[in-house]
Amino acid sequence: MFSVEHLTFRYDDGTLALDDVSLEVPRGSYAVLLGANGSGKSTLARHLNGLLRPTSGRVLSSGLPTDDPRNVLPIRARVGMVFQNPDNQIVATTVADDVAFGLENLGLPADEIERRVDWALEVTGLLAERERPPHMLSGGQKQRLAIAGAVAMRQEALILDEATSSLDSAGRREVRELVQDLHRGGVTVLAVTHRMEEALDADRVFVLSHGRVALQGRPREVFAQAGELRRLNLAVPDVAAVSAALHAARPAISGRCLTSQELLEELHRALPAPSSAHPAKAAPPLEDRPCLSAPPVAEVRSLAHTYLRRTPLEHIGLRHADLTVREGAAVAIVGPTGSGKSTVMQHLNGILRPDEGQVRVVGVDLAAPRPNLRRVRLKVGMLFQNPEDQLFEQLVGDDVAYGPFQAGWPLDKVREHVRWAMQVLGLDFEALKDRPVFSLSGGEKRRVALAGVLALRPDLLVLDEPTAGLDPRTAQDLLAAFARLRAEGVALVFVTHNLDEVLAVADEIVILQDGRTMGRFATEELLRSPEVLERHGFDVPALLELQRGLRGLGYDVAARRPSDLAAALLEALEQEDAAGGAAGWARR
Amino acid sequence: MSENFELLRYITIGQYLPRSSPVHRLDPAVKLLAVTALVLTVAFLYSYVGTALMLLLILGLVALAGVPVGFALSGLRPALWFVAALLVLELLFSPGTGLTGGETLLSWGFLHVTAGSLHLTLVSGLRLVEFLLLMSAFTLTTRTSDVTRAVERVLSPLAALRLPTREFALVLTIALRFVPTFALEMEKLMKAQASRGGGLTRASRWNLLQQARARVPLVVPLFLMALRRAEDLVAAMESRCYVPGRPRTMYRRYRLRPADFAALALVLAVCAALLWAPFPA
Repeated sequence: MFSVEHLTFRYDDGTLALDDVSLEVPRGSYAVLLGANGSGKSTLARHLNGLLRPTSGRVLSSGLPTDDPRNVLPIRARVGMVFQNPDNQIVATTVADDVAFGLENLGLPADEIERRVDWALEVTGLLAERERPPHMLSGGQKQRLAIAGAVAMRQEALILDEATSSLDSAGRREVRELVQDLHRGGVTVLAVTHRMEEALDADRVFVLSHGRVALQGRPREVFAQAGELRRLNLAVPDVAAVSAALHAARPAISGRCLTSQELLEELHRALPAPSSAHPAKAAPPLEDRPCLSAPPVAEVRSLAHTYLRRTPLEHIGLRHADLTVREGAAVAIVGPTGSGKSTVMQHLNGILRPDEGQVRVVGVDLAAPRPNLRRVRLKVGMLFQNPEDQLFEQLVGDDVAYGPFQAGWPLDKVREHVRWAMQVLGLDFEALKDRPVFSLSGGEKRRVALAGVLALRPDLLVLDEPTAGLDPRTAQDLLAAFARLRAEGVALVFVTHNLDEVLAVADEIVILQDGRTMGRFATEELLRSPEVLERHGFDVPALLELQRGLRGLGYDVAARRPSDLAAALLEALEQEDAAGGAAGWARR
Repeated sequence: MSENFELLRYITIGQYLPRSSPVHRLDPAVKLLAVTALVLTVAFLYSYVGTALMLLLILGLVALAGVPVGFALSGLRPALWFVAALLVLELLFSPGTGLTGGETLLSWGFLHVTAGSLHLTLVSGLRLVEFLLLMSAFTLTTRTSDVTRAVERVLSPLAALRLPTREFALVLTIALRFVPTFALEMEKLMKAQASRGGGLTRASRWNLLQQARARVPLVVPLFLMALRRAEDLVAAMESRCYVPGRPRTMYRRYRLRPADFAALALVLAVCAALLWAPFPA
């Protein structure tokens, strides 16, 4: 379907984006293009339907060379493309009209368009949304709408350029299932992503780094090279990491398992039945931990909020939310899109004021008629999801200093705080302060935005999807920075779609649904009862699935990270060895 | 500190109120022609009686459409002080000649309120309200997709003169499609600024330079983001086989019903009657 031969591409400013790339994607296959931020994967995807033309080398799409202008339309009629930002690819003001856009461009007659629009909406499950304005759809629906446009054109191949990276887990599942269906129907799929789990659907994986193909092969072959992937700023899926760590210590266990089911079957085969129960070390009682007993920095009680009150467009943002954040603690808020997560967050620094209920933050009662908003804004830092929404100044240094200047601090205090904030986040003050903001990479922008928030030295940080769109390595760096901030006594509240992140960072997890707090759990509790997540409609993270399976095999382990899980299991096996059971059973 | 970040509250363009009123059911092109006729009539009416009758007629239409009058007028709120100042200036400084002349009602130094300027001010104020009601009644009862196609259909005779009517309609569609998107974007920027202490040291209301300076951090990122969105949109449109100027077909078909003709005829007749009726000035 796609054939790329020695493709090199330079942008107009001379930056080398692709450097001698060659690859083949046969018709009917499901290929995944992996790579860190800035590795050139989107640039490559844009060559495949002729949006970009090679500086040198050749790209054949559906057998047609893309550098011949006469081929451009036939190629685009056969190869569909779905982009990252759902909002920026919708042209029309109703769902049906948007699906029809491509067909109108092809010059089909009206009744044929109508037939195909209906069919495409049915395939993508959007028939009920036919006449709705697209900005009222959820993220998952918007991406399915974009796919419907491709389905309506009866395209042979679909390119997904990070199409799921801005979606919640429900949205990701919707889109993933739809794409799998289309693939079974014979559509060639090429997905650009840095979510490793998505690569598991593929029959071939290409890993791009600095504009070159660094690794390629079947997912199993590629993920077996954990060290190499880490070097490329990528991560292996959690199960593969556990599998590899177990294999390193006990070669009898396969190091190539990719799903929790595979690994559990492998362990069932390889592990002896434990001679005695292996309880994990008992966790300290919850009340004893400082993060759950310290005085609260933020307390939300029975909070309700309605948007656009007293207009015909009013809608309920929150019905009944409860939340407590204690000094130095990390609390994660999870829930589907539209559950009210952002609404809660925006109450925490007084951007929104409670319609009903209480919000008490850093000692200020926000339900009072004239609360001290100045104190709240200075003591509570808020990081919005899209860093572009909160970088206002032209130069990095000015931007980080925006808050302190607004606070009216003296110049040397401003300077000292700006320097500290950038340093904590691993940004070089001297090198970056005079850089224009727009020249930063995505990960740098996120960190500069966070530095701007930190420069006020807040007691509480409120973070909306802090790692969305970042590659695994950059996300890891950011999480490490959060750990340093907690060590400095800063409390965190964060919203995330990524449950693995919750496990790694949070002390407590709050589940929001339909504007209500449905439950508050200590993270430790979740490790042993992932059913809670299932009950609320979440996919259980592979790591928890694995632990549940291990308990079934008689190994009671509780771990928040793949490395901890492997270590805990290996320790249990050591004990088994020592107990003499099947002495040295799996050592060779 | 009173802050309000809900910009959508003030934007009635591009918002559709789903109801099933007779006005909603009219053909969009008919509605567009009728609104155009009504707007022109409002502009040419000058008498108290005519303008007042027109206001009643329009209020009747708005009620028929099931749109709350307050919501239809909410677009006026951000500009209220500006409009009020303009009307006061008009009242005080209209030259005392021609139409605006007449008996002097009040006099204070060089300021005079004449019967003419009072008339002009009242009628201008009413006209403004009427324009706003008409536009809201149209956009709130017509889906934006139908608005743009109505424009396209009404203009289609001009395509014979090789004017790019379809491109014009597409530009309009995209503009309307992004109105709510940009309003939300602006809202986010304002929130982000407030949350980073923006407005803690307030720019003085009367210092225009400070006021302008405080706006720069809003306007610049908004433009940059608009440009980025435009780039993405172009890529998405091209990927879907859009080529500017190439003939395209049209998905939606419209069939005019007798009620549409009747409504248009009625509106045109009323407009003509109002324009030619010998109302006292």
